[in-house]
This record gives sequence, C-alpha cells and structure tokens, in this order.
Amino acid sequence: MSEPDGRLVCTDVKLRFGGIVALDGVHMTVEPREVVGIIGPNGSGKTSLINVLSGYYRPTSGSVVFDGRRIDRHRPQELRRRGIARVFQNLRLYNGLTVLENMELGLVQDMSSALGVVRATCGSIVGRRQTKLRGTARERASALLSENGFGALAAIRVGSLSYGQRKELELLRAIIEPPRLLLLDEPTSGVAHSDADVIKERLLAWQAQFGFAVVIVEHRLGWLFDVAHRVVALSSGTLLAEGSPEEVAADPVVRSAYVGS
Amino acid sequence: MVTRAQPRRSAAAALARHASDPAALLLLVLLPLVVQSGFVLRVLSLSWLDAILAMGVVVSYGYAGIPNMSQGTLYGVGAYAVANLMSNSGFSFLLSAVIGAVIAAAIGGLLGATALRVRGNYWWLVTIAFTQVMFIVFNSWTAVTGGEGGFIGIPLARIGGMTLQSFRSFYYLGLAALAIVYVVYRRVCRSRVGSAMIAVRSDETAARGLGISPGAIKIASMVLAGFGAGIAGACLDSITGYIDAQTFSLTFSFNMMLFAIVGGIASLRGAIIASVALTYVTTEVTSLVNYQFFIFGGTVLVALLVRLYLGGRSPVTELRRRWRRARGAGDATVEEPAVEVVAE
Repeated sequence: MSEPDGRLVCTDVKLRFGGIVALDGVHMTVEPREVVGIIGPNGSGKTSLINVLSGYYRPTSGSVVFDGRRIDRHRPQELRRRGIARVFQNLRLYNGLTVLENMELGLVQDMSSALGVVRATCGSIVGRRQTKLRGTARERASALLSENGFGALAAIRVGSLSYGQRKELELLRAIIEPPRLLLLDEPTSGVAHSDADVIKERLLAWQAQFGFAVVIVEHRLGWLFDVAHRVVALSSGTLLAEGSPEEVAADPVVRSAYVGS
Repeated sequence: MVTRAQPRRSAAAALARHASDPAALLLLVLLPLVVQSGFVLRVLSLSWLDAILAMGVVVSYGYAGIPNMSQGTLYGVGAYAVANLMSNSGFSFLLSAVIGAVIAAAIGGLLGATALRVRGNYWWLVTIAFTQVMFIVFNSWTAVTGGEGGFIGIPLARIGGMTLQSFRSFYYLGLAALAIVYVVYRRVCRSRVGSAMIAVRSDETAARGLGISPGAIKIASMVLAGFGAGIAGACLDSITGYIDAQTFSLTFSFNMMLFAIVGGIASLRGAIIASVALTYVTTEVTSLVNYQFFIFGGTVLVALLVRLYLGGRSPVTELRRRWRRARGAGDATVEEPAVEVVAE
C-alpha cells in the first residue's frame, strides 16, 4: 500500500463481459483537484470506466488505487464513504420525495454498512427528537439549496422540476457531503445549452470551493474542453490519446476515431 | 414562481398536527368505559395485534420494498417462543415477550438476508414458501408447538403483580403493545433510516451511489417487522391462552398484506385503521365471516380505484389539500400557486 496522496491511479484495468471486451488495459491517473475529461465514440468504454471507478463493476484484472488504497473490490456505498461520489447519466433523483429530502439522502453515508444501519436505527428509536436529520446537517442542506437558487423549491417534489433543474439538483446532491473525487457521466445530456452553461459555472465554482478532483464523461466536447484540465480519449476500451484539451482535439487519431476517416 | 404567503396556523391545525396521536390513544383508553361487551373488547384486542402486524408490512414492504408474506409466521414464532418460555421455563410474561420479540426479529432478519439473493417478484415466492414450510413445522413439531392439537394451557400474564384475565385487561394489553410498536415504527420511518428505506425501494442503484447499503436496510426492515410480530405473538398468548398453527397460515399473512394495502401501504395510521375496521366488521358481524375474502378483496379494489381517481393521492391527503385550498380561497390576499411552495 502506498502513501495517502489523494490520487486516483488505474493500472492496466481490463473489463470483460463474456467475449466482449469493454476495457482493455486502461492506464489513467487523476491528480487531486484535477478535472479530467473522458471522451470517445459510443461503445468506447467511457461509462464502463466510470462504473469501475465507482465500484459498480469489478475489473476483470488490473488495479484501481485511490488515496493509496486499492478500491477495485469495494462496493459503491463503501466508495461513497471514502469520498468518491458519482452522478449517473440518467436522472436518479427520487421523484416522490421533496427537493430537501433528496438532498438529505446525500448525507446518509453512515448507512453503508450493517453496523451503521443498526446504529442509525437504534439511534432513531431511542433518540430524543427525531427529525429527518440532525439539525446541522439539515441546515447545511438548506443553505446549499438556497445558495444555488433552490431555496424556495425545497419543499416541492422533485418530479415538478424541469429536467435541467433536476440535473443540477443531482449534482448538488453529490457534493452536499463534499467528495474528494466526483465522477460525472454525461452531466449535460438532454439539457438545453443555457442549462449546460449554468451547470458548467456551478461545477467550476464548487470545484474551486471544495477542491475535489473530477472525472467527466461528456459528448458535448466544447463544454468539456472549457472545464477539463486534461482529456483522455478512449476507443474500443483502450486509451487512444491523452493531454490538454487542445492537444487531444488536434490529435489526428482521435479525430479519425470520432469521424471514422 | 409564486410563493404562497404562510397561512395562519390555527390552534386546531396545530392540535391536529401534534396531538392527534395522543388524542386517539386517549379515546381508545377511555373506550372500555363506554363499551362493556366482553366480545367487542376481545375482538378489538385481537384487532390491535393485527394492526401491529400490518404496520410491520408497511415498514418492510411500504418503506423498504420487500414483499412480506411471512408476517403471520413471524407472529407464530413469537407466540410459540413466549408460550414455551412461560409454560416450560417459568419466565415472566414481560421477559418472555422481550425474548420472543428478539427471536422473531432474528428470524425476520434471516429471512431478510435471503432478500439479498433474489429480486422483485421472486421475493413474494420466497416469503410464501417460508410461510408454508413454517406452517408445516408449527403443525409437526409437537414438542415445541403442540402439533395439530395446538399449544394448550399458556399461563395468564402477570404484569406488576396484576394478573391479566379480564377482557378489559386484554384490551389494554393489546393497545399498549400497539402504542409501543407504533412509536418505534414511526420514529424509524421518520428518521433518515426511513428515508434510506424509501431510497432503496425506489432505486437501489442510486441508493448505493449515495452510500446506503441496500442489503443492511432490507434486513433492518425485516428485523423491525419481526420485532413487532414477536410482541404481537406474546400478547396473543396472553389473550387466548391457546395457539395453533391455523392462526399463522398463509391466509393470515395474506390478510395482513391486504390490511396494509387498504391502509395505503406506506401509512402506519392507515394500516391501523384498515386492520381494526376490517377485523372488527368481519368478526363482529358473524354472518359476514364467510364473506371475509369477498369483503377484503372488494375493499382493496375500492381503495385502488379511489387512489386511481385521485391521481395516486390518498383520500386523506386529498381532503387535506382541498381543505387548505378552501381556506386559501377564503383569503383574498393569498394567491394559489400552480405548485405548492412552502417557504423554508
């Protein structure tokens, strides 16, 4: 085990589903506070890589080390506790719950183990006063909502919000307990350009405020190049190119993988 | 976005919000002063136990999303455990009840652990199979359950030097058990554990991403369901003095599921009201016993149709909404928003 350094290091990560190779020996490093974009055509393994990094898939071989510890055998709930948050491509908010309740669910990571659930359950039964969360956490959720324009919407059900607002809210839920590494799978898919710009501004502001590293899979390349410090291009599960947004954008191999010529 | 001015909270509204449970409990405590019929009190005392079981279904199915068709079996586990502890080991009623609740909770937890290996509709089958197997065990394990002849001669419960042998004492025993279990369930459901249960039920993948262990939450919900069922089982021993396997059949578990659904699946109060109303009606009007399932099935159908008509809302929520709207309409300064907004 190496020293805790806040880095994410993928070494020769392979992922196979039967005969299908989703990732074929990916090497990648993400430094603390760095924003790394992952691009590639459909089926290139971008989401598979995010799934490996967030614990939803176990790599067939290779290793993923975060902050000096191997994490490739950990479950998503354990990784969230270790500071790795993930936002899905499709909305995963709870439409039947209110905006505030959805935010509060971003604060329940002490229930990632059986012991944590036992403790929380016993605490809820014998506790003096049981609100949804302890005062400070609820205040933090409310404050974050207010700062980001959701203050007046805290008590309404998420199903009533626009798609763009829900995308933004899902991001907000992921950072309510500030992570050390944020994994975003197509954060602007399906949203209007104006909403995508809002998401970009918010993301950059939060990243500067909380100092987490970000890995973003995104098809909207202009948007991604504005945000990312470094870009990694994948094709057929292998690393095609890596460098600054400008370098990768100018790379003829990447261009060929995208447009097929 | 139009933000509605905070409506004036009347004393009645505040009372309804904070004192409805204690007020209901007070009414129920006073009820035996008016109702003298031993038969009615006995029926009500048994319906309190049904209400406890239906609330267990609300926690495990309504909140955590585990279809629980084993509530009757967990009831039986608690009842047989307490009967043995009191009859054969000479344990006091309260100690036996606690141990019985722990045993039923543990069995519930083990059953919940199997939920980790199956998904969706298969879980219905797992709990149905478990209930059927346990029914055979209850019927066959003569040394512990009395077999087909049932467990006879369970001692009367003694609490604080008082022997419970009147219909009225049974009524209060059941009511006290209901109140305790209701408070426990309500606290859990309103806590972040309750939110985590909803998260697991609604979207397990997202819940894991939020740092919630779905397996632990599912097991916890079944432990809680078992805990209530164990307490109800202890009370059953005390009230009837005799138990047999027929009481804990699949049909009984099915009824508990129906009560929970009629009550609004995620509503503890609804489960209590539905259990008591349906149990009381079908038992009190003895001529209706043969039509029990017709009544239960019809009630479920009507409950579902009403919900459908109200666009998924419960009748209580709808009434509350209309009442608020009517109050708002009476006040010219209040503008009704398209989406209700409550200022933080």
